[in-house]
Amino acid sequence: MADRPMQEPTFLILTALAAAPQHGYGILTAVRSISAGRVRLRAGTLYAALDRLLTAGLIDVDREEIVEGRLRRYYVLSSEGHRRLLAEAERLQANATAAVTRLRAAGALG
Amino acid sequence: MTGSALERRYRRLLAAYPLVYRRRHEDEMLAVLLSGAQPGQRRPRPAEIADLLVGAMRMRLRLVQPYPGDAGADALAIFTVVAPLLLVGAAVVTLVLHLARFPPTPGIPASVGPALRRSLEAFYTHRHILELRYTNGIDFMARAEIALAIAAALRLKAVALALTAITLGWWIFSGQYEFSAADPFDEFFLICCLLQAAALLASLGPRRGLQLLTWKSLTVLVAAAAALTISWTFWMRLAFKGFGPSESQPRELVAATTAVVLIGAVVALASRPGRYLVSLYATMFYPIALYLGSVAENDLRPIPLVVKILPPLIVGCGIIVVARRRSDRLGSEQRSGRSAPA
Repeated sequence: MADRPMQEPTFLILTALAAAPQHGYGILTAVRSISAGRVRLRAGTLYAALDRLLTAGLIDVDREEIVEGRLRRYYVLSSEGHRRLLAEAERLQANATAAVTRLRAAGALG
Repeated sequence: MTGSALERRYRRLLAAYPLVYRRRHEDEMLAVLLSGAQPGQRRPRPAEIADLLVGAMRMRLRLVQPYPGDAGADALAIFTVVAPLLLVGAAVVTLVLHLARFPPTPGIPASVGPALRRSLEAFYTHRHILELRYTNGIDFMARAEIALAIAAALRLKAVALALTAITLGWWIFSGQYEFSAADPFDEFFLICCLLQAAALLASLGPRRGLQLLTWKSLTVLVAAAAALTISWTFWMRLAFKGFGPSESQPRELVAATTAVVLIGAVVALASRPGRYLVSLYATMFYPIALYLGSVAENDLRPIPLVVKILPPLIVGCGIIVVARRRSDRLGSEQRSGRSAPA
C-alpha cells in the first residue's frame, strides 16, 4: 500500500540527515536552520522521533563518540529513508508546482 | 557547579522514562540538553520540563517497541485489523439471522432459572442487537465493536485501544457475565477484546497491519472471518439441538464453512506471521470449548468469571511479555550492528 505523507518534523529530521550523519544536537540545530527557525524541536520530541524512525528502518546508528565526557551517537539515513525522503520531497514539490501554476494562471503572482 | 546542578535536575526528569528507553538514550539526551543550555542556566526551562514529561508518559504508554519485520509483532498488527472485523462479523451474522428468523428458537428446559432463561431467550431471538431495552451491556458492546473497527480502519491505535478498554470495563462492571453462560457471543467479545488490547500494546497497531495487508489478503481474511462466524453460530445451534424440538439443522452449511476455515488455516500456516495468527484465532475457540462442555454435560449454570477471563488474560499478558522481551533483544541486536530479523 502507498506511503503516507510525512509529518513535518519527520521530514525535517530526515532532511537534516540527508547530506551527512548527525548527532542529536546537530539534528536540532539543522532542523531549526532548514525551517528558518520556525520548527524548534526539543530533546524529548527529537528522541521519540529518532526511536520511531530507527524502528521503521528509515535511519540507522552510524557511530558513537565520546566528546568532553559526553556520548555522541551519530545517526545516518538508511536506503529506505533515502527512498521515503525522496518520494516525499517529490510529492511536496509536485503540490507546490501545481499551486504556483494555478496562482499564476489566476494572475495572483507577478 | 552550576553545570552539575543542571545535570542533576535533567537526570531527575529523565528518570521518568522507562528503564529500557533510558539505557538506550539517557546519556545522549543529557548531552543534547546540556549542549542547548544557556550559560549560567541552573534549572530546566518550563518548556523542556513539559517536553520531557510528555515524552516519558508517551514512552510508558507505548510499553513495547516492536520492530517491523518481526513476524510476531507483524502478526499482532494484522490481528488488530482482523479482530474488529470478526466482532463486526459476529454482529452482522446475528442481525441477519434475526431478520431471516432462521433457524427457529428451540425450547428451553423447564429447569432453567429466570436469569439464565432471559439470557437464553435473548440469544435465540437475537435481541442483543436490536432490542434496546435489553440494557445489560450488549447493546453498548455491539456499537463499541463497530466503532473499534472504524478506529482500526482509520489506523488509530490509541482510539482503538481506548475503545477496547472501555468495552472490556463495561462488560465486567455491568455484570453482563452473570448471564452470559448461555450466550457464547459474550465470551467471544471478551476474548477478542482482550487479545485486541494485547495486540495493540505489543505491535505497531492497525497502521502497520494495513501496510502488510494487500487487498487480496484482506479479502481472504474477511471471507475466512465471515465463514468462521457463520460456522461457529451454527455449531452452537447444533450443540443446543438436544434441548429443543427436532429442527432441521443446516449441517451442509456448517460443513462448508468449516472447510473454508480449515483451508484458510492451512494456507496461513505456510508463513510465520500466519502461524502466530492461527494460534491467536485458536484462543478464540476457548468459549466454544467451554460452551460445548456445558452442553455436553447438560449443565447450563453460569460459568464463574475467573474461568472465563483467566486463560485469555494469561494469553494476553503472555503476548505482551514475550513481545517486550523480543523487542528489547532485537533492539539491542540492531544497535550492536547485528542483522535485523528477516
